[in-house]
Amino acid sequence: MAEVTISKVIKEKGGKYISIEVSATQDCIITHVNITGDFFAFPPEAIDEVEKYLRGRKAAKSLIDSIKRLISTVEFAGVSREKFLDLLVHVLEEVGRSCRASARD
Amino acid sequence: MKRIRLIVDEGSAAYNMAMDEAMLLLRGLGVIPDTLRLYVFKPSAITIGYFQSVSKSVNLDFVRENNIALVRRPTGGGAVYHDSEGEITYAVITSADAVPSDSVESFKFLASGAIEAARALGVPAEFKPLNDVVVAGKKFSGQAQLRRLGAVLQHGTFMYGTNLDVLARSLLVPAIKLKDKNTSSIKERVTTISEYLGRKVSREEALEALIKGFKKALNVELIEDSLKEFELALAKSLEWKYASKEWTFLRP
Repeated sequence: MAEVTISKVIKEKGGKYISIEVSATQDCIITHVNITGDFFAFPPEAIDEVEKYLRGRKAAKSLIDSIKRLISTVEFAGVSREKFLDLLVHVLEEVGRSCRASARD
Repeated sequence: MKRIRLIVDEGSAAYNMAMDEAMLLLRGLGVIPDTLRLYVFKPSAITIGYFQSVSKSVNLDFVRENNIALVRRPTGGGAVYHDSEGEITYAVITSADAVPSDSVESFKFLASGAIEAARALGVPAEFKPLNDVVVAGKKFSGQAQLRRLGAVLQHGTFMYGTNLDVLARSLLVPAIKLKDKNTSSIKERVTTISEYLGRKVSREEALEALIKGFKKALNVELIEDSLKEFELALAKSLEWKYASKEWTFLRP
């Protein structure tokens, strides 16, 4: 079964690079999440937890509320928490649209 | 005057990352005093940031062919080349309440040791947010940080004579970064103390400058000491993680 993969990158001026890549099956189940870049997050393991949380769940914008809770005490440097969440929302929305579209094909 | 323990050290990339993490944990537990460790990577190595994709940030073929070690750091930030013959790394391990709580301010506060070291050698170095130290706009020192158990580890590079050809061929930079920095290549963005001064600075000189620089910047007395057996034991244990493919390729 074909998977969809969506990847988006941002780098604010004077900030750091961050890339979020999410893959999902045709029925929109997230199979891979890769959050990479040269930014800082304290503690860094919190970002691993975000990746772990998303794997196996159905791609939807609504996941972002749980993610917000997961990173509520995380301090970011080089990318703001808001930009990080925006990027993730965009990727999840697009994954949601693409997997539904590919299921119709 | 406040006293800080000084350790002068060298070792493999995996050992160096393991010792930095061991000291952070032990400082957090209150088992060791504030420490400045100045160390060299033997053999030369690339360290990549906690979140970096290995294949997107390192020229793996070049690194393999040239026997350059590769390790993922416990800290965020970008990829760095640690030349055995041209770079000394510093690590400051202290209590988190001894540094500003804001991360950029704390980067700057602890980078001041590297800045004063460069100035002692006649290089008008400046801090450049987020985490760089530059001269004439070119970077020769990058810092990264991790906090645990109320302690902070900041480690950073001090490129006194790094082979910049090897550096440029080892590291890959995402196009989006170069665009933002408005330059076309790594070699236009980095320099070394020796390159800036137009003379070869020796490791002894660089080491002496770092000791002088941190003394002045932190207004402390540095007391040279040797590693404790329990530090070596914990580092030995953590070294397995840093030497493993699983850890280095955690984000392939």
